[in-house]
Amino acid sequence: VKGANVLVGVRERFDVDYNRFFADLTALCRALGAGSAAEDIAQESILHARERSNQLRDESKLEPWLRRIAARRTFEYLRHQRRHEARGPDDTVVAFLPSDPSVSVDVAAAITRLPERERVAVVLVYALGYEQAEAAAVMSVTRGTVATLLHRARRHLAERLAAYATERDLP
Amino acid sequence: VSRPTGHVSSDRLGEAARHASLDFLRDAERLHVESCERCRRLYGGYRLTDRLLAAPWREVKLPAVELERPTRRAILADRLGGFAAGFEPRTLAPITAIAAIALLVGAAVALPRLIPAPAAGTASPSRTPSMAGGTQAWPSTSSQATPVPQATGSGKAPSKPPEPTPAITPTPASAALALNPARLSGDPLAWSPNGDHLLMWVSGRIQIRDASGRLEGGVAADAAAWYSPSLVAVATRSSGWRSPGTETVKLVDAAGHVAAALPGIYDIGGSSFAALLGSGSGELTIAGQGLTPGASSSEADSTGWRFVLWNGKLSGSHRGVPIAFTRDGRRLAVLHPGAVSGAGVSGWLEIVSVPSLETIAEFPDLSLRVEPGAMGSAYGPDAAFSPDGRYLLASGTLVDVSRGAAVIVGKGGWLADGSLVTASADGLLRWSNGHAAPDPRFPGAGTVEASRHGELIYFYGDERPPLYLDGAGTLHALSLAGVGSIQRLLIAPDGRTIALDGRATDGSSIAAVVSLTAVGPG
Repeated sequence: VKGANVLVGVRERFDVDYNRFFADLTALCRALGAGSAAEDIAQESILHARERSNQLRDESKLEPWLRRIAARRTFEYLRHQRRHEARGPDDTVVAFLPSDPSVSVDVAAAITRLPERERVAVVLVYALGYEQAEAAAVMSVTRGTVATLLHRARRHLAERLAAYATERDLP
Repeated sequence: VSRPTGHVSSDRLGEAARHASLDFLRDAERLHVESCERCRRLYGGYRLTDRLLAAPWREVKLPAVELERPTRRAILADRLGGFAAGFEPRTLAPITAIAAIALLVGAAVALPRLIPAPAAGTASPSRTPSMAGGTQAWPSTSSQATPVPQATGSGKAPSKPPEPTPAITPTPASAALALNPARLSGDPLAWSPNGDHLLMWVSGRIQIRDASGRLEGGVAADAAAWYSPSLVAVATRSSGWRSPGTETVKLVDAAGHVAAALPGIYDIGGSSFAALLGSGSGELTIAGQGLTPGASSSEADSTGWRFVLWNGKLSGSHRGVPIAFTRDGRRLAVLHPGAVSGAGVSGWLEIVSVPSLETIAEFPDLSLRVEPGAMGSAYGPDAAFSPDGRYLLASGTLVDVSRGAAVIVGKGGWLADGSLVTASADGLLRWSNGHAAPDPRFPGAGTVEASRHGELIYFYGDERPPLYLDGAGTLHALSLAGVGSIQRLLIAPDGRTIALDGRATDGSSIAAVVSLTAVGPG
């Protein structure tokens, strides 16, 4: 009976907090690179989680669980897209980038070409403002791993942007 | 400055950048940084990185080629660039030196072979392609002046003498006009009502491209239809393949961003055929065999097909399968199917008003069959009202919707002046006042597509070039570079662009858009 109450409570939360979940997951999927598919993935993730809400033992972990599902689906989508969708030379993609005046194509490329785990950690922590522990939950790694990934990402970016910053007398 | 390289460590520079000052460093480190270009650059890189990471983030549209992960070759080039900028010289200097030596040796060996000796006394012909020659030879229109005496084939023979074909200036030149198609991946589905955008079907996704074929947005969807000139309605499966039959319908803009989500979850039968039908002017129908919002079981017909109308608010459900809106969006043709298959719908016809869905006319004795449209995989009903809404052309059958009289005319399209053009085994037929007249400039069995502005394309499905009649009535044979044959073709409503799929000259499949703006005033 207790389990049933939890289940009912979780399902009610899906209905009551749908808009909040949808906005949160859409932002997450967009930040991870899903572009225009973000809303689809977010919606499918919520529906998927709702159907399987009986698998959730601790209601307080609902949001990290949802984010993990959305992140996993985004990565699956991106892998599928890379395999099956040939891009022409004139095609454009939507990238999630800092809104800084110094962001040019070179800077954007430096960020988007970071190793995937480093880029994801950067996006979750810096772009979406997640705590390192929250990012770790989404990435299914420890908090220490996230800290290491962020450190490496910052070093990689600094190395890649060194010449760019000097040539343009930045910052 | 105790590292073997003599440089300040990256971590120390990073710490200094966090404090935004070199004063954080020890004196020896600071003095080194001030005199070392490499360390100064890296410090600058850290400063820029920290500024970027602290800024708010947003979505930016950029060229894909610039952002995609580089190939191994690009990575190597990047590293060599790093070497040139002063990074990791100890690691890359030997590799670069070896590569440079190998390149020099290779060049010394290969160059003499690559430079051909001039041939004595043999003047080679020019390789510049000739507009008049080659494989695109096609008889000039003047050689086709013999009229076809009687239309036969899929078109019904006219009972009265044909009216004279309107005088149209033939093409003065016999050469085919050379055009360069922009190749695309996927199946073209439908042009937007203003011809500015094209829907494509690619691996389970709907892509929205501009008239030049450039990708603007995309969304995962089972079906799509133009709701308005700027919004596409898409039906998206909610729960994956394991629980089919539940779809949500959204309106997305050209970038693929959701502008609105329609209320409810729909069972559209997992098929894209006839699921969504848009007027292009703000009306949309959603049809399926399952329950839709507002439906009751008593409303189902023998096949269970029902539909709802969305024009800013959702109507109650109505029996039947919508097949075509009038151009003003005020009336809708609905088929009440007795049988539905992937290849089409057969049933009797009803005309309803929009948005009330009240019956204007119904013809229970008129059996009509509507097949999927010309493009994509089972995409959209092949049915269109005449510009004045008096006639409906449905998969080759012309219906007078005021009387319910039907005649088989063959597949075709409506011109801007309300006249009908259809294809027959003997060529193009022009219909006027119930009579067909063959147009001798379009001989042989082909397929015709007409734009709303009056331009038309006649193509054959083989190596013969398509014939294009522009808005001024001038006929052109089109030579499409790289296109061997056309299987299906869509002309934009403004007549300025075509989308096609077929076979390339090398035998591979091809999809492309072709701008016709260079051809005549159309």
